[in-house]
Amino acid sequence: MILAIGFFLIWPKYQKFTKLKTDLENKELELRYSEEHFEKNQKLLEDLEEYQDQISKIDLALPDNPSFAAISLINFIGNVSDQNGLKLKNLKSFSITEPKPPAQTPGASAQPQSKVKEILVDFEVSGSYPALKNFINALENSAKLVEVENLTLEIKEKEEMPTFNLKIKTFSY
Amino acid sequence: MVIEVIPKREIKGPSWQNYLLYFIIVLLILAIIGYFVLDHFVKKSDQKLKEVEGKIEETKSPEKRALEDRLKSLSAKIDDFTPLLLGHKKSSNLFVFLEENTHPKVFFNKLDFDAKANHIKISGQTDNFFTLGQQLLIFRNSEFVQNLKLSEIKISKEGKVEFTFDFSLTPNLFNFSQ
Repeated sequence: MILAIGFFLIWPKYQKFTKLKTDLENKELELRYSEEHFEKNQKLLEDLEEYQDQISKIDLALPDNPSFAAISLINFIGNVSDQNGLKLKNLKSFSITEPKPPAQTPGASAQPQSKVKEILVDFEVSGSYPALKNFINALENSAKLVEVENLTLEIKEKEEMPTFNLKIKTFSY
Repeated sequence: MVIEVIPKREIKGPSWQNYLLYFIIVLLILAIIGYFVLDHFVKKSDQKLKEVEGKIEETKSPEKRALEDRLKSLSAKIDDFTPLLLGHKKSSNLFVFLEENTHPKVFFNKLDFDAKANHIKISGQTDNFFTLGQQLLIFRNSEFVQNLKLSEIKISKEGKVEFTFDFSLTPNLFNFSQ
């Protein structure tokens, strides 16, 4: 009878108890890790609050919505060309390029794909050479990350105002 | 009536049997107690496990997930932004370069600048071959000019010398510190 009690009641109970003890230890470890991870994140966020200005600048340079960024860039080109004495004559094209997947090398760990999209705007402005210089300076010094991809110009003797073809690039997320 | 003067000795079993019986009884009691003690610990551990699981679920609350997602996206954005900022070019330095490296008697009227390849094709005119030669020397002596080529040299109807320069510019010309 004692053997029956030991075998059918105590032994399964003991096994259940040891399993629960192991599970509990694992879960406590998981909880400790989660809590530490959360505390670390919260500390990181508090530290980042001190850099709010810089983060806002990054958000402005790398806006989240590419369509909005493209429209905003075109609007910006219009305003800056006006302010610098250039006339926006023709908006030839604009395109949003998705990021290319990173090149995979065998044996190397997979690189995370960048989410940065390129926005290319091709347009034509007319005006004087100093106005073009000021226009490009203003684009480069703006809070947006704007780069000139291509610039062509041709000054014809009889032409009053030369025309400049510009292809510029900005980025979005 | 028979009176027993000498009482009979009580017949007793062997003492080890008694001990065994006691031992079995004690063992049985211990087994029953052990079962209930184990059952108590199992219930306690089970309850504690549920509490810990509940706390783990709390750490996965939408607010904490939102915090983690925000940090992840911010970190990725900063990582992606850094190379863009480091590679940001100041293309307007091209104008500074041209203004500093153009002969006073040379007039450039056509420009094609590919900022990606840092390549420039520039056409112009001047009064004579002497000033064209001086312009060539100016470009050749510039630290920023590479692979300089002079081509399409011809004399216009007005007697001016027309030409095209083709060259690459070193990337450091377009650094923001320049």
